[in-house]
Formats: sequence, C-alpha cells, structure tokens
Amino acid sequence: MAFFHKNLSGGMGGSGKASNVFTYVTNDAIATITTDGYMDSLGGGLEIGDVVYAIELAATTPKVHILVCSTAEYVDGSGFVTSLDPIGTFTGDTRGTDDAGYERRNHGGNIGAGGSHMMSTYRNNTDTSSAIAGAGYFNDVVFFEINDIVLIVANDAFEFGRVFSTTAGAVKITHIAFV
Amino acid sequence: MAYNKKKLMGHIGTGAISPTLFLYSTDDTLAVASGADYFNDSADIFKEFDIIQCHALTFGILRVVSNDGTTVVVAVDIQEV
Repeated sequence: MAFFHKNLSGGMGGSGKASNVFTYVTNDAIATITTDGYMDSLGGGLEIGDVVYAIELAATTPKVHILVCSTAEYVDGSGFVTSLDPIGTFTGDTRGTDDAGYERRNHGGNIGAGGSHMMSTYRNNTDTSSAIAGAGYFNDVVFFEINDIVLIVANDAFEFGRVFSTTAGAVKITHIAFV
Repeated sequence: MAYNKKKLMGHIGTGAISPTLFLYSTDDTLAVASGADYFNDSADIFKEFDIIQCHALTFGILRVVSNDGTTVVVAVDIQEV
C-alpha cells in the first residue's frame, strides 16, 4: 500500500521555523513507512525535523512510532523527495543555517496548557541536543512550567525534553530516554 | 488518584481516520493510567487508535486499543526508562 493522505492529520506547530507534528495511521509496515519517498506526494508539506506520530496497524500488535522527517528537498526531475526516520535513528538536522542559541522563531506549536502540561516543538539545526539541554538555554521562555514537554530537533539528534527548572536565569530541560 | 478529564487537553488531528493526539497530565503512575477502566469517563471522546501522550510520573505514549462507548482500553506503546 502507498501513502494515503487522508490518514494524515495535524499538524501542530509550524509557526516560524518550529517543527510541525502530525498523526498518521496505516496498514503499511513501519519498514514501508520509513522507506525513502513514502510521503513524497505531500510535496512541500513536510520539512526536515517535522514529527509524525504514526500507528502501524500491520504489526501483530499495532504500535505507535515516533518518526522524524530527515529529508525534504526539491530535486529537479524528481519533485519533492522526503524520508522519515524512527527517533532512535534520526541523526539530526545538520543544515547549520540557524543562529546558535535560543531562537524564539524556532519554538512554537504549543498545545495543552490549561489542565494539562504543555507540549511545544523547538528546532535548531546548529545547536547540539546537549547544548539545548544546558542550563539557561531557554531563559527567554516565560511560559514554561515544570514537566512541560518540548520536542527538540537538534543538529545531532531528536529528543523529548522535559522542563526541569523554571528558575529565572537557569531555565533548563532534561532529555527523556525511552525503553 | 483517579482519572481527571480536566487534565486531558490539547488534541491535534481531528480526521475521521487519522488518530487524534491528546495530552494528559497526572500524578498517577503510568501503570495506573494505563490500567483497566481508567479513561472510561472520556469514552465519549476517544476513538480506536487515538494517541494519549501521558505526562505522568513516568512519561509514556498510550494508544486506544478499543472503546465500546463505555469501556476504554489503552496500551502503553512507548515509555520512559
């Protein structure tokens, strides 16, 4: 089966240069979804660092996978070429076109707040994930609360971050590791 | 503690087929939040294959396995170490 656009929904984020988040459900196997070109028909609808929560129904037990767009470019003669990587294999957005340090325009897509914690997305293709997790990196962010979640696309990785400190001058996130 | 639907927020994706992603915050453990009948009070909201990102003591991502309108069954697909 091929990519079926109607099974894709979302996304959140996308304000400024922040990553979008999409959801997708399919009967295709995860190996098919992560084959280069699977979502090419989206055209420019995906950008490097966009995140897809994909449910693979084909597995014996259906499962949610977190995928990150690793390629999204226009190639003469081929149109838009895209690829998605599982979070553990995504090696980062290495374009290096962003300024180092926190960039407000790269941070967006807040959902939640109110009763629940908030989730936002942050992309910086110059800074490493460890730099982004350094104390003070997010000092300019005034809306964080402890345990808010940030999906981080860095120069060398994709990470789920949890807001660990909102102390003025020492706002900090920590990475979440998965089983 | 029990399920508190006021802590369920911020869904994205509302397609008839595509999953909706919800955020849920709780002081309960992930084991409690993924237990039998926990999300039943929101049986009118969830559909099969919706995704619940659970900001619990342990962070996890749940999938709605079934919902017959009364009983919501979820599974933990991804969880924090």
